[in-house]
Amino acid sequence: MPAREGRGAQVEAGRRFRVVDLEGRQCVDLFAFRANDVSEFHSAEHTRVYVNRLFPRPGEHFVTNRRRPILFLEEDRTPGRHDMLVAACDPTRFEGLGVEGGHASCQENLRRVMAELGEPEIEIPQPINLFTNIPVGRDGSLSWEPALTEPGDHVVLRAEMDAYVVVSACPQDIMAVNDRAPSPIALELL
Amino acid sequence: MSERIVVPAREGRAVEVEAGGRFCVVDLEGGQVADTFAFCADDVSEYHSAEHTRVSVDRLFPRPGEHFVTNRRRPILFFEEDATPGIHDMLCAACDPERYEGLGVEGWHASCEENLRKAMAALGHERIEIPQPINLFMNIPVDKNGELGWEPAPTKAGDHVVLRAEMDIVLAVSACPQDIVSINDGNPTPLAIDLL
Repeated sequence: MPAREGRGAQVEAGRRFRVVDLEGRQCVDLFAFRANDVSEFHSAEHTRVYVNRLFPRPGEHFVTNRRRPILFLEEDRTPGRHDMLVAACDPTRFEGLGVEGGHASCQENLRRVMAELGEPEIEIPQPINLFTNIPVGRDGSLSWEPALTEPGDHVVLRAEMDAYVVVSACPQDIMAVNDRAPSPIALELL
Repeated sequence: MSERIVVPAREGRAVEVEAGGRFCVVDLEGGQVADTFAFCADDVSEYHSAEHTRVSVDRLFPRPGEHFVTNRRRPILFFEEDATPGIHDMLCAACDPERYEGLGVEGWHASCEENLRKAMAALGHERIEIPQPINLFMNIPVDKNGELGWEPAPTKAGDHVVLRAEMDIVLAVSACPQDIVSINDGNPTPLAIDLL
């Protein structure tokens, strides 16, 4: 998947897939929707309650807005830093950061991919921001640090229901999250 | 002259508030979580968003003097005053029937999601998304490993926050009926919305 772009696939229940940071230090916005009813999707706020933690550990699930498991986190071959607190970047985010004219965004990437999969009407879930390094301070403050991943670092996930899985190679180049050099990622169906 | 809307224990209420309108959310008896929601009155597909607000303030929860923003990153609520111990949550989903089922409850149990749907429907808004709530007074400490704790709300009777609508909104408040997990100290109690 080229830098700054998104791709998706329909993944059947039980199928495993890998999300790979090809060149390192690249954030991935990951989304999962139930295939036969996209009003059900992975939910950050329900997942936090389900695992009692800001992000699941390997062996735990991401759940939907109806609290049903949708993705299983099987393996984490990264330094283990991921985020589930911040919204997908979108045109208003880049406008707020002072960008003039258009800028690629994870929200637009998601909409385009889902439309190509035949689902133009979707909510924008809060993403699973793989490899994204947003430490939370003791006072609840968030910082925006470069991703810690090296080339080839990856996670392995398993779909727990028939799902559309969408990944966006985050095009953020104003904040430091991608070390200001967006690069490509890969989605490998196993 | 303020108008008080009492939110009975385990119930929810919604009210329209004009841009510039100020209101208090009051914990009448103490130790009670208030799931608070704000929708744009002209288009309820725009609503306060936890994940956009965290990005806007670079913090898990705004401080007095800061804004809650919508899923289109526009200010919707201004956090004017915090007359509480200052502990609130914006990490956890509203409780819903599936939550109580998962906690082993058999049969119906009141929930913030149902309270929200019912209160919004009473104002003619039948179709809404369920936003991640602003859980006022809710005490969910995050430790350095990212683990969440579920602690009783530290509010005393009469503790409150003052908020200001930054656009015409539909405000909904649910007096959280959670009585299995200890966030309301096992005893759900009423709240009030005071329109100032």
